[in-house]
Amino acid sequence: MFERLDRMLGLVRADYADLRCELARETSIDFSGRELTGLSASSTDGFVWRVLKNGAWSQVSFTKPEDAERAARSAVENAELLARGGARPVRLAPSPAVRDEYRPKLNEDPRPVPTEAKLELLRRYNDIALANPKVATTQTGYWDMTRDKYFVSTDGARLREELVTVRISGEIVTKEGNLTQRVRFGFGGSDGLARLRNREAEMADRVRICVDLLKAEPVRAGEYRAVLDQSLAGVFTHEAFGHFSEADIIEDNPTMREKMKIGAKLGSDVLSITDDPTRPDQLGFYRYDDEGVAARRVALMTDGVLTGRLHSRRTAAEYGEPISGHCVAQDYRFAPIIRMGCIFIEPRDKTKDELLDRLGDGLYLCNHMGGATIGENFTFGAQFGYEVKGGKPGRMLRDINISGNLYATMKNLTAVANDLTLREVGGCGKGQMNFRSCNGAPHVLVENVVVGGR
Amino acid sequence: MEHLLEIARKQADAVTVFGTSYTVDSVRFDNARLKAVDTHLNSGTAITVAKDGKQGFAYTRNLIDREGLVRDALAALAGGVEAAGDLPRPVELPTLDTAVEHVGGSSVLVDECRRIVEYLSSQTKGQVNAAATRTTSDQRVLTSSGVDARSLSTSYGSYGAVLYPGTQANVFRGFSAKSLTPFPEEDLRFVAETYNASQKEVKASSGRSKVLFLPYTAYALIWRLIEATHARNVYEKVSPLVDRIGEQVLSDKLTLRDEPLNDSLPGARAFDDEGTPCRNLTLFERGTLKAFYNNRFYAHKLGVKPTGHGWRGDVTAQPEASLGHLTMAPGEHAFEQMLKLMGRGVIGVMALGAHSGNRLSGEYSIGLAPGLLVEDGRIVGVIKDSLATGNVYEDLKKVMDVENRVHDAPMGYFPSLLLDDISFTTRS
Repeated sequence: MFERLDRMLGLVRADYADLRCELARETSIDFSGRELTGLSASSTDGFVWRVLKNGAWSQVSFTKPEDAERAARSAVENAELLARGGARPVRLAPSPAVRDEYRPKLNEDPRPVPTEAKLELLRRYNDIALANPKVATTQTGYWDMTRDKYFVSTDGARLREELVTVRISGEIVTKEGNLTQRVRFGFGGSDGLARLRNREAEMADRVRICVDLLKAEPVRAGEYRAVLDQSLAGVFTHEAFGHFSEADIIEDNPTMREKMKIGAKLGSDVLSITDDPTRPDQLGFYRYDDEGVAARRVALMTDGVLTGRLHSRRTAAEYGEPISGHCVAQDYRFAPIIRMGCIFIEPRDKTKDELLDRLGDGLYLCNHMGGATIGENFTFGAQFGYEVKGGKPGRMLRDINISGNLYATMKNLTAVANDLTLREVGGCGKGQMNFRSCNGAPHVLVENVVVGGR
Repeated sequence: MEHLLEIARKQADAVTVFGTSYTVDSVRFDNARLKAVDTHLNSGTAITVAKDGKQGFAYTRNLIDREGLVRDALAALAGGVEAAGDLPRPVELPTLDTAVEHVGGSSVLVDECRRIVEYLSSQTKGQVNAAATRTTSDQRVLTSSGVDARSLSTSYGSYGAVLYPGTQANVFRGFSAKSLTPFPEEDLRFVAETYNASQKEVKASSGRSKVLFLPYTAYALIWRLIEATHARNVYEKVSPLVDRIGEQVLSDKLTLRDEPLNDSLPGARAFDDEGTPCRNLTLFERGTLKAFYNNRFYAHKLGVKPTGHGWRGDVTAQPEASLGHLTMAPGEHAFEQMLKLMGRGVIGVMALGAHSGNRLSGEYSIGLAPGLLVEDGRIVGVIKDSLATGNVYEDLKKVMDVENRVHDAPMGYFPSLLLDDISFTTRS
């Protein structure tokens, strides 16, 4: 394969070029209620060129090897157009031209496991949900993907890395009269199929929550003090803060770039945030990013002070900051962009109960239900929550969405617990999906949370 | 593809082969400066085989090993997925005008984006972003029942946006056509004038309010209707609209149609990705529920005829029931007239978190990004940290007005909707 890619690399006349090829194998199984609606196992591949010419940077994806020359020509023409059109000149931060091959250690490789066995595993979880008479339907899916990635560059890099991702996920729908409720569930990771086994008790717990939601009351609109659980705090960390640690998001927004200067005190003293793709046994693990840079841990915020940023080689040069190995593509169809690998709030010393005691009266909000951010403003859904009185969770609440301002919320985050948990199922949609995007947090206490309600 | 079909039909009762190839050129300006010029040259082939009442599926991007692809699809039969009934029969399909040859290289996209950027930069002091994309696609469906349908199509899309300082919240308009067409002057004016009128940060009170949902916010409400009319949710009896065909469930100001045969818009199709002939389908007529949409699988499960809505988001996916050509009928009044009718209230420019919440039951709670305060029929400023919350089956009965023009929005072409008595929450 490397010899073939080297020959393709010879097609490009540019100041720098790299070429990534991926061979992928995917298994997908889906249930809708009791109906098995899909099952497939497929193999595929694809290529991505990236070219630097005359200080301009262009990227072209293609799927047929016979299109390599046409795609290379397009990449060069696009770069020339950018240079003529006044694009800001691009430099790449230096990075060692690594030659390495890496395969992850797996706790049960999904590839030799027959599809029928994967189907039975999924069916077992689906049946747990459907056994409850309040469950009206489910949407459950099994998915595994193996990406065998090859990377070569005109700098002499020659890398091969294998990424194996597995997950079982979906949602449970309960119904009583005209009221329906839904709760998501998901197990998965990048360290093998064993992670999907023996999770029956957790599945049963998700079913119980979805049934309990039928008796929950809609939350009342207002401003609250709230404890967020690990899932919700993790999504806040990813959506509200993490994306603005990605250098490409803010590089052309002068007012945000000014606010996000290294050394700025943006959070409370208890807030420290790290992104570390090299942390073992978590969904977002990789050794090299998709421009051949070794991944590394980045302390993004330390005791409320901005201390680091996530970079590609291009943005590291633009900002004059260290490369970090965070330029990652969804798969063979996409050029890499800057992504979080595994972002989390560093744990402190308090317990969840101590946070609830400190909250006194307020809300305990649990499990994210999707989130979105646009600059300093964010909105997240919580799958459920509890009214808290005197530090004790009471009535269950539903239909909860919170909205806020990133900078105010980071200062209003006044306590952090010691119970860090990382998500097992990713799905960040910044232009392209990243199913391996991992985030997490301990429980946190936040002042002045705006909650929508009827 | 014919060779693939021949290999597969020797080993299966029924075969569908889907092939796609597309070229995408895109240009982006960030902060009024050329940022990116990119190209995608992608293709793919998917095959569905049926045997003894069961169905198997497989795909590849790069059709080198036809036998291997058929082998993968046949192996998937062992899973026991129920086959989706009889394949469509060949019929005469309407001829649609779907392709206009793209002229010039990516430089013409650069020129158009530069025009958008120069206008908005000259009219506002905000950060200006713009982008343009053009696509050429070739899609073909072959079945062992004799269907051989092919669609060549072109599309073009562009947008212009002005960002509020310190954020990425912006005033935005998108535009699409079959080939490069200048971004409409009235949309450029809308973006500049709306941005300029909302410079001042203002506070508002939480409570019940009139809310004008611009198209990029209105889609969050329409999304709930899309879920409720999906055949799967009807079959599973979890849609709140089950058994309510013919019932008035929304305001009589609202008509929602899927129009795949409307070739005045880009992406018109005479057949879906399963080879079923497409037809225009009215989901709600003046607020009355008229129909549900399906793919072959759920048509088979429900015992009804396929509506021609089996679409693949990508070659890697099996056809799902979805609405690819959704349009809401426009009303009578222009945006400015709607502001006057509103008097005092809030405009939701874009929706944050449209996907979150209990969509199936119609619940929504969306961040307004941003919200604009309207007093005496005029925009007076921008509100930060605000949410609009409710249930579409209550709130879409309270439609005061519908804009007289539809715009590009996520999931379709929608007008702005002015709703009365909506729960609005903001920081005190």
